[in-house]
Amino acid sequence: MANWQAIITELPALRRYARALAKDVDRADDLVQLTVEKAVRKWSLYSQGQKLRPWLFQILHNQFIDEFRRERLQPTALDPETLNTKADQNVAVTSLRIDLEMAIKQLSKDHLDIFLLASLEEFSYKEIGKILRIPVGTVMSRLARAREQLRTLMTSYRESNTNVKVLNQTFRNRLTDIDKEGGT
Amino acid sequence: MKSLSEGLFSAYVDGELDRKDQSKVEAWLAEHPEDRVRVEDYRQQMVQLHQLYDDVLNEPVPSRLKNKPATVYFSPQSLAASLVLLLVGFSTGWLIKPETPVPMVLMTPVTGAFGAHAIYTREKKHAVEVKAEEAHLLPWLSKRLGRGIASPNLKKFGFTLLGGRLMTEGRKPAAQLMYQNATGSRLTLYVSRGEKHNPGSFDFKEQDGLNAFYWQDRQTTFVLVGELERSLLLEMAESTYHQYQ
Repeated sequence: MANWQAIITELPALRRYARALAKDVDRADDLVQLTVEKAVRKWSLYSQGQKLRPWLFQILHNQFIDEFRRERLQPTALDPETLNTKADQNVAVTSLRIDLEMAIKQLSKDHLDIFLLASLEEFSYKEIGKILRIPVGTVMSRLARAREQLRTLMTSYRESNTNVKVLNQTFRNRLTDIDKEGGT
Repeated sequence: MKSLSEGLFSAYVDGELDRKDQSKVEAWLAEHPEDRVRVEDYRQQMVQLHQLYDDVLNEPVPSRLKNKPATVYFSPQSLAASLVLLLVGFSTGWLIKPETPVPMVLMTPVTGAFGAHAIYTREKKHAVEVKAEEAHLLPWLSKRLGRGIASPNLKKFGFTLLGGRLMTEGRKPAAQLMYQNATGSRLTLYVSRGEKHNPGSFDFKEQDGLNAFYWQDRQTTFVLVGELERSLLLEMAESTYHQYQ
């Protein structure tokens, strides 16, 4: 059965999930702290035989929803200038990751939440259903929609990144041309 | 064959399909390259997501998250369950650190209870002011404290009431009831009244070899002190709490 030490063991995973949800380090840790405090307060509701991890994630999820409602947090889009700089790094893996980072910021909170629980924390559909209090069938269909939405978003980023690269290359070529013209 | 739903591809990636659906998806993928790309994209999303956030797992956890919240608060109804929690916490070796902050309002009754226990349980002839046999013991203490003082029955733990005394805690009256078992081990229940108490808090404190469980009920603080095993004292605290409800 669970104890304080068991909660401590889950802190890194809780922080990872919170970081992906809240995007901001301090805010994410605030969420984790609230989760831990609530878990200690609500311990009487934690029943023996229940898995600790989904229970803690459920509390974290609820905290996030509360905060979301309270502050009307909106997924924040990255600054386009930063995007261009990042896209211009021209490292395939990095740029793919940035695409994903941008794309998940565009997801609705329902889709983001379920995508993180399944793909990052790798909970079973049954566990996700318990955490989010939705039927397993809904988990399956909502998750599929989230992944499809991510695909669409990432495809469009890939295309726009390609456009940026093409533009940059054109611009560099033009500069080279100007240099050459100046040199002659 | 009609197109499969995206839900199946997604569930396939997560290993959530039964054998039948899994073979169905695999057969479909063998003939549909565009859906193979879809499945590969889903997998890549997972891989990249881990690349983005797995570093957090290796970061040192800030200490503010590792400090257990000092006091457990709950409604009286959930007290029994929380007692179990405390027992579990202790039985797995967790001890409240001496530096754990305790709300100031709790300090006085608990300190008073420890002091009174240490001083009076040592007495042979004058351990109590009024003996248990004297009928006026509880009405007298009740009157002075301004609330009903009962003596919980702790016989099933082998402890019987010796008697009690009226005490002072600062300017306020407080009461101490003393119990003893067959081996001469003594236990005290300290009861005091205060003003702004947090209802329903329950905690444990250890000091100079003495263990104490304390809790509050409206304006009254109860402290059960003994030189006993925590788990046994906890059972008695639970019993006392219930007898006071």
